[in-house]
Amino acid sequence: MTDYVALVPAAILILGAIISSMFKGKLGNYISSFFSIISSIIMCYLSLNVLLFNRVFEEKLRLIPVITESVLPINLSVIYVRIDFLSAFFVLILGIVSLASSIYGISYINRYLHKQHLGFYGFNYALFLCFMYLVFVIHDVFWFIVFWELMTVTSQFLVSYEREKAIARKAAYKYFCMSKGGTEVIIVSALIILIILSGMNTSFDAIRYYTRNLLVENPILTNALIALLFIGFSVKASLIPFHTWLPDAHPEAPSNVSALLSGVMIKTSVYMFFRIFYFFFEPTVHWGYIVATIGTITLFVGSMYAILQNDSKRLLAFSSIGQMGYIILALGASMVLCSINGKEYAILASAAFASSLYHVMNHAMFKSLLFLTAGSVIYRTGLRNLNVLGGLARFMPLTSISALIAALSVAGVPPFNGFVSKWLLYSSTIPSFTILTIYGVIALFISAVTAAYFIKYFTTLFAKPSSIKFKGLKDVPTLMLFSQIFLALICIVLGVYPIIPLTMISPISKTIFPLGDILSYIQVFPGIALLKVGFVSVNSPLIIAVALTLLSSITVAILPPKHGKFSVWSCGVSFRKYVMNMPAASYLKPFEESFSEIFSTGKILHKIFVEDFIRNYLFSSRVLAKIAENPAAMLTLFTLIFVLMLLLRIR
Amino acid sequence: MENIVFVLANVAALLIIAPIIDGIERKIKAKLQCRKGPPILQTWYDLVKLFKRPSIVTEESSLAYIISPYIIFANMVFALALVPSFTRISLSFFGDVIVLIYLIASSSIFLAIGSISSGNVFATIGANREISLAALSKLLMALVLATFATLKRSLTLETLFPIIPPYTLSAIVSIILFAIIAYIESYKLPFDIPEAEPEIIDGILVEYSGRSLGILKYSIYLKRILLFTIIVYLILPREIPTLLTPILYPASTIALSVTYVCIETYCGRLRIDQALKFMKTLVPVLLVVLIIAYFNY
Repeated sequence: MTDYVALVPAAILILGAIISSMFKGKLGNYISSFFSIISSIIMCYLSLNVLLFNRVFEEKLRLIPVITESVLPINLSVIYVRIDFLSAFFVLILGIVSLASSIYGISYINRYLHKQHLGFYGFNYALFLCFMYLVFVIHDVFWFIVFWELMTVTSQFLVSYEREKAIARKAAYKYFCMSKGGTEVIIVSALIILIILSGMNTSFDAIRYYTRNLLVENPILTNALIALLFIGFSVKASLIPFHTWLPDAHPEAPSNVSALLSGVMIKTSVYMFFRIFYFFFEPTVHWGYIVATIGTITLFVGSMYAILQNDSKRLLAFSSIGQMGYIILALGASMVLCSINGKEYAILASAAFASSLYHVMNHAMFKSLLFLTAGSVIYRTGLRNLNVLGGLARFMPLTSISALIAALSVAGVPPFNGFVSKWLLYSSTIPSFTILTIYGVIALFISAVTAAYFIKYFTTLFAKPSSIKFKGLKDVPTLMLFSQIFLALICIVLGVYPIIPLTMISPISKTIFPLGDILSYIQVFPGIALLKVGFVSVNSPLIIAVALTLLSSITVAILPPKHGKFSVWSCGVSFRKYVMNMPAASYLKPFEESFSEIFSTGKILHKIFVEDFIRNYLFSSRVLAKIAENPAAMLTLFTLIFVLMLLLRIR
Repeated sequence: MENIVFVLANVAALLIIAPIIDGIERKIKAKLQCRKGPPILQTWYDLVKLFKRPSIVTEESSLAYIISPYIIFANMVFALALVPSFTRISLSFFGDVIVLIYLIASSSIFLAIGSISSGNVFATIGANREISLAALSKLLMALVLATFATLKRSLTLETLFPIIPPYTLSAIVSIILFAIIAYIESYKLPFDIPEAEPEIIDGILVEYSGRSLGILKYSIYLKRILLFTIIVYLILPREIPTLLTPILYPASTIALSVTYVCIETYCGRLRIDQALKFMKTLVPVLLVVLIIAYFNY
């Protein structure tokens, strides 16, 4: 193909970034948003084309004329872009979320007018989207690392956008350092692959050819490679213990950027986990158990710490960690289960595989929606503190409804989308007769905890009385409302019609999942996706959503609510001049206290692994500097590295 | 098609007898406290009276306050369709147990959201207690469920009922533990902490009145009978003739509720932290039972 259609979104975004950087005022934001919207639509178009019509886009953009190719074995002069099914699935998510967040940004970013350089935002925003897109579609290790790094750089500029705030600068610095550390590990493993295995052939397909059967030939090298890659990518995925940057970085960015960071950027790692565990290497049981264990720890810790938060965006950031745990647990479970023989286990494995990708999509939708609603509250009140906010449902009805839909989706209440993906996870892990049973139980418990802190989030923002008197607040401008309602509708549609995401996951499973098409193991009905296990009674096309709405509408029809208005009852005494409310800090206090040992353990671990680690790191870097000054010591070090490389070569 | 008719008949019958069972409980409670007690149909009279009255909304309330009682009621009715009751026929599919847990959980979620939306601070306190209890009891329920699933290698209520025939230690202990969890879930003393009347003036229900209150109370009765039904069917042997089930089922449900009310009468209310601590002590027990079940003992 020569029309370079797969590169069009990136080209548009780069153009938008360059133009918008020239304007300091509103125009800088408008231009960048406009170009982002166009390219998001093209992304959706491309990915839907791939997923629904099985058309694979493949481009090779030559940067330097042909001559060099024969000289250099490494194809650095060619940008090899390929949208296969897995890429397309993630590009679709990126397209939808970036569409919503760009439309939202048109109005939202104007609150920074006169304080910040809006062109700077526009430049980084468009480039951030561009590099995220390229990370998903690139099919070449070298360029992957380049775009991966550029994505980190542009996003950390967005995190520190309010640069006069020391906390934002610090958060961006922490985020950048940790991501950089992760990337170093990725680079090391990529170099090992390129030098030892693929002979400087950098394209994904070539590497896959060499790594696919490596496990039998050289298990030590394979496990070392997987371990390095897993550690490297789990920094961006914010898995425990590499999660510490996320709760600092995500809240500091402008809210629509937080939506992208939490909704899509941390999913780049999930995308690479699927590439590593299913595309490059064969899924193995022991890595499945490791991944599932880390996923369970992540979902437990992330969600338990989310209860403690009293800052709206920080709560959402911790919740992102927790939900990433669900995705990773499902991924690990699918790897374990697909290695066990038997038809029952094949069904369970495909349910877990579907659940992982399905939850990626769901989490992208509801988490970005939640960040947008938190942003709307900031836009109107300028506040993030849940202790003082409250009672906004009367002023911002549509925002509150979309926040409620998103909160119920995260909590996994039946007709919404979180339910189906979590349901697939539980029904694949709990009856598995392995340690995954307990992981499934923990996931089920944490889903109730998730519900608990999202009740806290929703009610402290919108329901409980506030300690400040708000006057004359309106709902947010139309464009912001539009993107919120757009995402809310997607949440409902994905929940009521699970067939839509599952038909998109099915071609992915056909290409990379060892057991083949997931849809041959799963029966999809509106509102629920059932595993083809055992007896399904005759009346089983059961429609949870429809049943629930029917039943409640029947009760409403029989017993319609008739209302009189009255003031809140306060034991017969008029307390109107006082604020009677419960601050967010005292929400769920007994629950926190009953799990106090978890939080105190967390404190100790933080001291050991973060504070002491940094101190030791600084000490050892000083020692290393001493060694570097000494030629003899350097020589020994190089010899050691050389011996290590030799050892790895032994088959 | 006839399955649907049976399921609907089951649900309708449960809708009718749920308040009657509460009436029986009140009668027995009164007798234990040396009072005469109301007639058995008193709970129905109360409900009808509440349904006749309009409900009052507070000035601070929002839409969630008005609609959540109806959603809770719908959740409960739908959950009743998933369990067998007077006949053994129910909506059944792989993983319906998880849906059941989710329906119970989402009724707690909506109860909390609705009551906090009333703007009353007592309701907020009650709702917080409700969420804390509900979250921890989901852990216990999930553990019991995992034990059942490990024993029977299934997640379908059809195959889980009855759990007993292999008379193993884990099966018996897990049924007892489920009975305790059901007791906690059914807002009975000493666990009626979210709606503690003398302490936080009815907590979650404080602002609800008239029809909304009626529907909420009705939903609580339905939730109780749902939990009773599950316990009864965990024990009720499959071999008993089909014609006997419509007699045995209500008899054993009433027996169970009488047992519960006898315990309830002799209990005072626990503090929320005491209740959570009690529930937390059950977690290691359940884990041990799960491991025992894994080894088929």
